[in-house]
Amino acid sequence: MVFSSLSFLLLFLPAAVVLYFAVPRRARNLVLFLISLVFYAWGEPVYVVLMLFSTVVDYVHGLLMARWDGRPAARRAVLISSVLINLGLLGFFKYAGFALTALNQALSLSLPVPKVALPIGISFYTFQTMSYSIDVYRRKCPVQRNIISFGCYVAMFPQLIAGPIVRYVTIAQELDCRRETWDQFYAGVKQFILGLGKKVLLANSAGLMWSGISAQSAASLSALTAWLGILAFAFQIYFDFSGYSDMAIGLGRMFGFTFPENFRYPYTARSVSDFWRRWHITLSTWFREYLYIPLGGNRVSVPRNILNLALVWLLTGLWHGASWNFLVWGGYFGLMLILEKFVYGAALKKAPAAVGWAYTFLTVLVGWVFFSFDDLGAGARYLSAMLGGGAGFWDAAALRLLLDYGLLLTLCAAASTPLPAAWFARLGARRPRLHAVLLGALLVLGFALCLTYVVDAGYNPFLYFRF
Amino acid sequence: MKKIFSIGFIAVLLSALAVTLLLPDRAFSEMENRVLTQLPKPSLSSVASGAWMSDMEKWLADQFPGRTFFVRAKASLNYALGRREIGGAYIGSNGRLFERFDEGASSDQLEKNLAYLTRFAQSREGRLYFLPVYSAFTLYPEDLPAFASVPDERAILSRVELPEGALLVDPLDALTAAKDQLIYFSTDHHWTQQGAYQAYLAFCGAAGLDPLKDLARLDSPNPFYGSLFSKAPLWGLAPDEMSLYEIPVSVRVTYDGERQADGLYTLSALDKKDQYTAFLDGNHAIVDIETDAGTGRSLIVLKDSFAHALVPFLAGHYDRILMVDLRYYNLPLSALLAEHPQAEVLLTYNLSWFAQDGNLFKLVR
Repeated sequence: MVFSSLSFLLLFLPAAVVLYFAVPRRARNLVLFLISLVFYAWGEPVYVVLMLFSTVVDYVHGLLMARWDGRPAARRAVLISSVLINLGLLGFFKYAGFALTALNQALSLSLPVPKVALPIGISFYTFQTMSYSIDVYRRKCPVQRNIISFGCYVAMFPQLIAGPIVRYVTIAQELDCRRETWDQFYAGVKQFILGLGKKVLLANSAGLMWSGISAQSAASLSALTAWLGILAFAFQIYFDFSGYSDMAIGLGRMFGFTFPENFRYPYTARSVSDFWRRWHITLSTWFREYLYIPLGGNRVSVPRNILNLALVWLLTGLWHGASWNFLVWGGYFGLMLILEKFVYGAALKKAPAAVGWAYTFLTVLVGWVFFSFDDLGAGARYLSAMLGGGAGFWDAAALRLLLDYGLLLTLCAAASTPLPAAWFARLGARRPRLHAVLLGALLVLGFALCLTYVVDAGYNPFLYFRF
Repeated sequence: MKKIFSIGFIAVLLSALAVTLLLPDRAFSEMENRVLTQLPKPSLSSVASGAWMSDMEKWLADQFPGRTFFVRAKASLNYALGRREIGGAYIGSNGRLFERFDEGASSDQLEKNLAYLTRFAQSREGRLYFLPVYSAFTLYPEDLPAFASVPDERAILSRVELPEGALLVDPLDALTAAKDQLIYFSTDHHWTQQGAYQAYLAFCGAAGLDPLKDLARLDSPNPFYGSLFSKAPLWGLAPDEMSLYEIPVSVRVTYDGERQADGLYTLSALDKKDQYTAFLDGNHAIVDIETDAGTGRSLIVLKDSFAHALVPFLAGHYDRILMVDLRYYNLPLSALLAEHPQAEVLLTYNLSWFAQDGNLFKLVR
């Protein structure tokens, strides 16, 4: 179930809130756990078993580490077992098809390729449960002895299917003692509506523009159209993903949880490393904490450092999906980060802010081309169209797009910067009453508008006049 | 305040659900021309497979209270934001909507269709006419949004090759001369019967017929919101006026070899949303029209839906008209043609759709 669906908004969310607050505090984790299972099963009735299996495995591994507290070798074995099981699940369900296909092609074999559907959210919850095992091993957090609390952590519906990736240490305390307040709930609703707006008003509209462009053959695109297209995709993926994170954080708050921030105006970044400190922060943090630093981080020789960076970024790419284009996308960012770190990073720091921003945004836009086309050849053709190798540099279609979507793109650009929020905060300091009225009106109107767009998504004129 | 807002938020969601549940489910959406989802009953198997859950989402989307209002609000808002292409329709000036065609996708198909047409025309002995139908944007390019891209229908026509003896009846001049009249609907992709009448006059000129003149017209009692309105249901769009010419011949019409009617029009369609289906009852695979014209001539029409407004006029000149729609007609056309060796043949297609239609291979089958 996605947050922007009517089933979620009208059925699940009100039911979840009412049930959760109707029971006494000690039963709330159980209720949250159960409704989260319903949430997951709504879209994946069968794979809920897999998630429960994953939950039990990591719970038991935690207990075993506590039991063999004084035996480092045993603890280490338990950790390795947990990580292997988690990566095994992820490997089988997400990567087996891709790996076997690649192997067949490379060695001209014909091994049978299993057709398994990707369980929703598996990339997120396996990373979360691994964070638990690793942090228990590192003694950064206590073992969770209550299976309900632990199940609640793994299955918790707000962050279950699209993040943020909440490390266990972050909410270990809130799992067992938290206070829900009206202030928190209200702040949660506010952030939820903000996220819903990003998703259905901005991301979906930009997505409509992009799907119209990406469906055409690259040879028929003028350079201007191609740039407008990838810009639309950039806005689509940002507002989709950050909107989803906002909704997740907002929902968490309603139930008394504080999830970490996941996006911090990434399109204002002035270097690629700055971009990755602002984009999908919880994923970058995970890779840094559990892969880059254990590999030695920065405290190694330069060649080793380069190798580490390359490895981390290839895996980051692969995390986004099991296909070659994601590997290329990750490798591309790895390369840019290595160049920035060892070649021109210092020069970039001294350059004017506009130069740093333009370089970064361009790098990211080109990256989105790799990201958005599963087929590397199609991506290359699209890049060539961006350079004028399609249908020239500009044409009537591009101008029509500008007129149709210019205002939307402008709105998206403005919403990608901290300026509107900063202006609104200043207004709050100067004219608190006006600020409160405006905020209320924005929330009510914004939600009504979101509902308008959500309802319209089900409008499917079936016009068989012709066919 | 924060408490009131928080409770209010949940209360709004709950009441929207309650209203959806309490209001009786609507069965059919005229706007969308489709059956709406009814409240699904869960069963063990439908829940286990997830079918019930996805039906619930469809049900909520289809039965949401005031749904049409929301749909129109969104379309109108997008228009206000500068969008002039919504749901596959261009929104032009003077309240005129235009069909939007995907460019590029059709160039292969056009090559094939041109070849099918030429082969078919070469194989048929006897009189053969090709009457191309233009889209509204060819007649009213000045009403199109700036930089809108539409197929070049003149260029498509210029590539049609007909053998010696076949007659090309090009109604463009006649239509252009009449463009101040209501020859195309503003909210539907079809022409009006007034537009079809202009093409009919051109046809009579080419075929040596004496056209029916001073025909009385029957106006629909209802405003007509056509197919393009369904795609872009903006607020403030004026509906079309629909009217039908009364043809002074008596006819016996058989639809698909089953249902018979005594007239060229299905007048009950004027009380429904898609009033264009009043013309010869909308889409059918084969329509057999027998008339008392007493001319001894017969005609086979191979066509798309634009012909429905045109063919009624021809009923005054032919004793029998067989109207075949290759999108639905799946028997070999050659057999039908062989059964009627004396019949004249009229091919009439909208040019933009002719370029894309994947059914024209049936011409040479």
